[in-house]
Amino acid sequence: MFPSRLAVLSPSQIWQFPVSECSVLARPDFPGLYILNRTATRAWRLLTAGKSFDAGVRDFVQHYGIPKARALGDLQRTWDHWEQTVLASSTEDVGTPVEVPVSNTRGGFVADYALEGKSVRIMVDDPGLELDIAPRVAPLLVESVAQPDITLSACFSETGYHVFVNSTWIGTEHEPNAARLLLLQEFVRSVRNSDWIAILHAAACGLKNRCILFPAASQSGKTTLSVALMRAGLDFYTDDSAPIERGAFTVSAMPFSLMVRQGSWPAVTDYFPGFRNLPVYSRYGQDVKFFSPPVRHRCETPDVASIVFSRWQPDAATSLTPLDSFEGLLRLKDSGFWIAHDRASIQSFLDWLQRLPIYELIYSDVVEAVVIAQRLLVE
Amino acid sequence: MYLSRLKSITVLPVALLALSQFCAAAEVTANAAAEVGTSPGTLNGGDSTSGTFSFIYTFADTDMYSVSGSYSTSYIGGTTKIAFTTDVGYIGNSTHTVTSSTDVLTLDLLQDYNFTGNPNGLYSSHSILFLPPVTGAGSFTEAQVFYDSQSTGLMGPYSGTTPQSFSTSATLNGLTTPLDANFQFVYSFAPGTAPIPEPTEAGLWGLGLVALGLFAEHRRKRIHRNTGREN
Amino acid sequence: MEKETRTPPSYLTDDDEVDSRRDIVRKLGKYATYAAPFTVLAFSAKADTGSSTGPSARRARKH
Repeated sequence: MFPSRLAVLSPSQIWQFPVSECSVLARPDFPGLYILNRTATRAWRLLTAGKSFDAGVRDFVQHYGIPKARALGDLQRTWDHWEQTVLASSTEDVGTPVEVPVSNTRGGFVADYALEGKSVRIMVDDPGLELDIAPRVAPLLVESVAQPDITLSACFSETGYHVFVNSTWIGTEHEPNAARLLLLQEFVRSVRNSDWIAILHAAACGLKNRCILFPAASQSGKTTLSVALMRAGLDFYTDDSAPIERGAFTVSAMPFSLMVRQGSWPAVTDYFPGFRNLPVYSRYGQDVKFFSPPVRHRCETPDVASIVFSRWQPDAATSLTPLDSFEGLLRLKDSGFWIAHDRASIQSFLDWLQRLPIYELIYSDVVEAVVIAQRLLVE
Repeated sequence: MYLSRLKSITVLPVALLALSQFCAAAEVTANAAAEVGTSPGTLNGGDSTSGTFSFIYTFADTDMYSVSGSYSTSYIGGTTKIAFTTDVGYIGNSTHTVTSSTDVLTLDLLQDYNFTGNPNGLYSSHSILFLPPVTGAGSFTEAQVFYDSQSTGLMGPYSGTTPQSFSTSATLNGLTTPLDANFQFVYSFAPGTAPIPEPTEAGLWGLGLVALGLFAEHRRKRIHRNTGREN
Repeated sequence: MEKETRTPPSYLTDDDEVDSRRDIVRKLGKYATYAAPFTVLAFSAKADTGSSTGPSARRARKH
C-alpha cells in the first residue's frame, strides 16, 4: 500500500466510475466528484491493486518512460492530495450546522402565481431578494388565491438567505442571486413533482422535442446567441438552470423571464420590437430588462441532442470542435453542475454524458453559430 | 432525495489578469494592492453591486497564488449587506516547488455606504472557512468584518480542510456616514505548501481546485455556501 | 450522430525543458505520452465565503 501518514479511508470505500480512459471518484458521505486524468487514474488503479509506493514508482517509470525523480514526486504529491481530499478520514458535512432556520417571513413581498394548473405563493422578506425574484416570475402572476397549492418563502438573517418550501427549510445562501436560483428551481420542481438527477448551469434551445445545452460561461455571449436562435425559429427552454429528468434525461423547461443586460438589448429588440417598451431595472450597478419570449416552446421536456460549450470571440473563425467526455466533464465543472449524490445516479449521469456529442463552438458571427446549431439539431 | 440547487460561478480561464466583470462599486485588494476597482464606491439606498474576479498574486519570494471569487453588496430597506467569497490556491514558484517561506495573503472587499440615519447598532457576520489541501503545517485562514475600522469579531483562525462555520456580531457605536465596510479574509500558507495540479495546458490558471462550481447536495439542517452570480 | 472523440492534449509540468505550457505534447517513453497526474473536484464547497449585515436595530419592520 502507498505510505500513509494520516488516518485515511480505504480506497475500496470510494465510489469509482470509469470515464473513457479517465475516471471519476466520489465519496459516499460527501457531495462532490473527483475527476482524475489518465495518469491519475493509473495511479489510482495501482493503489487499489494494493501496490506499494515503490512499485507504483517503478510502474510509472516503466510505463511512461519518465525519470524516477519525476515519478516519485508526482506520485507523492498525488497521494498527499488524495489523503487530504478523497481519502480524508474525518470529512464532516459542509459547514457546521447552526440552528435550523424557522420560516419567519414577516410580510414584505407576497404574490401568487400559476404554472401548469398549480398555484404557487411566493413570500420574500428581503427587499434585495424580492428585486431578484419578482421580475423573473412576473409572467406567471395571477390574482391572489385563497389557498395556494405550494408556498415558497425566503427570509434573511445574519447567516444568510433561507429558502423554504411549504415551511420546510431547504437551504441557505450567502448571496441573493444564489437564493433566487434555489427558489426558482424549487418552484418548478414542486409544481411538476419532478425527480431530477442533475441540474446543469446552461441555457437550452431546440426544435420539436430536441434541444442543445449551452453550458454557461459568464458573459460569453450566451444571451445574444439564445436570442439569435429564437429569431431563427428555435424554441427556448431555459437561460440558466437546465434540470435533467431522471430516467428520460430530458430537460425540464423553466418558465421564467430571462435577464437581459444592456449590451444585448439591440439583439432582443430586433427579435421582439416590444422589448424596447419594457421597463428598465437596475441590477448590481447595471441597467437590465426582463424578457419572457412570446412563444416559448412547444415541448416541455425535450431530449438533449448535444452539449455545446460556446464562446463568442471577436474576429475568430467559426469552429465546431468535438470534445471527449473527459474534456466535457472538466468544462461542465467550470460552468457548474449538480448531480444527485448516490452511486446509481452518478453512474447514470456519466453513462448519459458519454453517449452525448459534446462540442466547443467558437464564433464571431452569430449567424454562423445559429446555422451550426440548426445542423446539430437535425443530425 | 431532495433536489440540490445550482450554484455556480464560471471563471474565464484567463491567467494573469484582474477580471472585473461589472462597473463594480466595490473594491477588492490583495495585500492592500487594488485588484478589482481602484476605490470603494458608495452605495445609496436601493443600490447594489456584485461581481466576480480572478487574478494571480505573486509574492516577493516568487510564490504564486491563484485568487478567484465573487462579491455582492447592497443597501436596501435600511440594511447594509456585504458578501465575499474567495478561493485561493498556491500554484508554484520560479522553481516549481513547494513554498519555502510563510506567505500571508490578505484579501479585502471594500464598500462604502451612504447611510441614511444613525448607522450605530448590531452588525452580524458569518463565514465558512477552510484551507485547500496540501498546505504546509501551521497554515491557517481567518475572516473579519470591519465597519469604520471596528470589527464585529474575528472568525477563525482555522486550519482544517473541512469547512467550518463561524459567526460573530457586535454592537458598534461611533459610526459615521459614509460608512466604510471591509470584509477581510486572511490566508497564511506555511512552508511546504504544495502547488495545485494543473489539469490543462491553459496557462497558470489552476483549474484544478480553483474553479468555482459550487454545488452542495440538498440536505436539511445544513448551511451551504454559494458563489452565485448574475447570468 | 456518430460521436467523434479526440485525445485530450497532454502536457508537461515541472520540466525545465518546457518553454510553454500550451499545446505541448512529448512522448517520453515508448508506451505512452506522460501528463502529470491531477485530480480536480467538481461541485463541492471549495471556497471560503462569508457575509455581514447591519445594523439590525435599524431594520424597518412591516406590520
